[in-house]
Amino acid sequence: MNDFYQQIASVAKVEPLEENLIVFAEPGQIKEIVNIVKIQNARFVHLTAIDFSEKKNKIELNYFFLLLKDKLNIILKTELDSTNPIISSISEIIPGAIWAERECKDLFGVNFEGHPDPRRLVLADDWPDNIYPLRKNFSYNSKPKVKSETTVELKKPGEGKTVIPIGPFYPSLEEPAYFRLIVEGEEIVDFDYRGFYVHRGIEKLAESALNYQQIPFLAERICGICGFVHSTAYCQAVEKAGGIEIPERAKYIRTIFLELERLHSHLLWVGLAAHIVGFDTLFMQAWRIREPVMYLCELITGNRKTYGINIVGGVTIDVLPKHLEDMKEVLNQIEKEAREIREIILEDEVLQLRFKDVGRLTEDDAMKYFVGGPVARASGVEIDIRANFPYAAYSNIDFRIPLRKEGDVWARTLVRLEEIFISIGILRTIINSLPEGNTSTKVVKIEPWREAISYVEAPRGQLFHYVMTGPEGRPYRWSVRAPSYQNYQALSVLLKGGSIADAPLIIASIDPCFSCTERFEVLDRKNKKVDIYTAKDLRKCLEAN
Amino acid sequence: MFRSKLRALLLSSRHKKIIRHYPFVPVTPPENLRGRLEVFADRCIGCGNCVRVCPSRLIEIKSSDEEKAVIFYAGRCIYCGRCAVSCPEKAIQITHEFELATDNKNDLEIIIKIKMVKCRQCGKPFITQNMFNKQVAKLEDKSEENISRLMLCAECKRKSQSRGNE
Ligand code: SF4
Ligand code: SF4
Repeated sequence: MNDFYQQIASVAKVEPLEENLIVFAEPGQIKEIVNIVKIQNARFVHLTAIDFSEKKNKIELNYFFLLLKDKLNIILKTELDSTNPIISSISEIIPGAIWAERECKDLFGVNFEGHPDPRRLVLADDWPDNIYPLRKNFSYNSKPKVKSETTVELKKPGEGKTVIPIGPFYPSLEEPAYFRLIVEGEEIVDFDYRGFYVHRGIEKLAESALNYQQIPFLAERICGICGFVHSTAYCQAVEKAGGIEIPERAKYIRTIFLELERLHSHLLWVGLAAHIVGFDTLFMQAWRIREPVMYLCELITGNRKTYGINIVGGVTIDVLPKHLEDMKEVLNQIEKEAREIREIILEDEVLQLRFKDVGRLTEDDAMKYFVGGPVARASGVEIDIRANFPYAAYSNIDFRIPLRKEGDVWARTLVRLEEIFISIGILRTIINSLPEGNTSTKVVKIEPWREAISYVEAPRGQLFHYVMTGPEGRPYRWSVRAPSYQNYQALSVLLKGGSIADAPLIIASIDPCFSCTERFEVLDRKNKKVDIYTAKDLRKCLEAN
Repeated sequence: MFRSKLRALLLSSRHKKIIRHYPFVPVTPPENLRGRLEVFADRCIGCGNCVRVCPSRLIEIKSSDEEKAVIFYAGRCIYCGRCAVSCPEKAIQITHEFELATDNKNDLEIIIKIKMVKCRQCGKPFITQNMFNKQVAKLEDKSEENISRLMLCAECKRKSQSRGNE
């Protein structure tokens, strides 16, 4: 650690700050420092740009790394001239940074020299060139004129290879994304992806129009399954930046919902995986078992999903003793039935044939792409942010981290099944140790220009939020990196060598979340406006058919 | 291999019907459900707190000479309840009503109108009637003179005070 510290300090200015190490470097030194960091086995988390064009004609780049063994965040900062921001790409050294750099290019116009794949990632194909939506001079409610000529750049198949398109509406998960499998016979040899069709511009909206307390509700809507992780991560980041200490009880209540969410998210996944291989009895039973969790959430918060209880400073509702009684009952019931489901899965030879040895991700590759969550744990990577960087009430709770070595779909299934029981255990601990007290503190003022990062172990992996506070009662920059964002990038490895029939299962096995990954805004390409169908219009459609 | 299928069969046969016969049999919503908003025109003082907190930014206050209109474009409401919490007069109430589907989102609009009180000197509307009533209610001595003193806008009040000081 000391060695490494000195190594960096010999190249650039270093400033330790609690669990963060902030490194200020010249653009030319980035590659050198990234190399030093890489040798330490640091995980690349995200790359975020911040536009300071108006203030000092600069664009600041922040590279976030994570040293698990030292529990240390490394924030590597550099400034580029905003008239012509150009820097050399780190994707050669860190393949997991390919998407992050493409995103920065799309949204801030930063050019990465030597990038292996400089195509558009986030922006629509007809979005005009040279307009960068996250720059501060682009107003959030303006609509630029679309390009008249659009080209979609996709990977071309080589000699003797065929393309099998899946999408643009992904059939088994019912969400928009375009997967392009390049196959030779039955075998997948290459893979291309065009997504971000549900890019909703929410970071921009938050940075330009909302205030600190409005954003949690927007953040929760990033995802339809695990939205609570987003509002928690956002609130934690602002609380950290503003030096706000929230009551213990609020931390525990957040933990309750984080775990309930993991429970129902994993059960949902088990059902989906069974559905994809045609075992629909299991699909329906898994979803039936999941229902009581949803009812419980509805009972406590009023909503079965998207609870809307997180605010900066705590939570808006309280969990009453009678709720805890209900929770106990629900947990007992789920534990019993989830056990049955586990036994059904473990005994099923057909499932084993379909799941075992399929979509293998080696530990090396898992490290290379910095995948997280059950996908990483199924490949033997011991990472669980709840244990590595305890947030909310996790520092007071003991739990196990399930690990598997195989790295195939079967291992991912087993890890998720295991986590269902671990979540039940965590919830039981909380029921017995929920501290008394207030559920929120009053937030008075949040100083501008403070920054903070916050992690949450979402059901799908490591979630990252970054907030830089601003002078207008809202963040100057709010950046979100969902777990699926990183897991997606490993798909090319997962799919290569697999067969076509396994592709839907492999894709589903990372439990991808489309809207989390994309989190911004799309334009309807034909109309450029939102159409609303009234009952009359719909009737007309029916008659016409 | 059949064992696992048999088990799955057993598991599902234990739960024959789990379907709720909604809407034929109505469901009772849970206690904490946040449904349609109800806004009371006789309580709202037009302070604008709700406008500032609403995450969907759907509340608008339009002022005219005669009245203030508080408009909820509730088709965009996410039923978070922040407005109700922030309202100092408890003018917004969250009901349990959740069957709000409509093919015309204007159906969900809530508009309340509150009368304005005009300054007795310059004639400018300066305070909502409800706020004025509150101030009157607070007066210990509800004499005509005291009430008429309240009917001055901030500017005219200052002017009359400085005149008084001269
Ligand atoms: S419930 Fe929430 S979204 Fe609806 S009007 Fe009130 S503050 Fe706005
Ligand atoms: S409804 Fe309540 S918060 Fe909104 S303007 Fe009226 S008094 Fe103020």
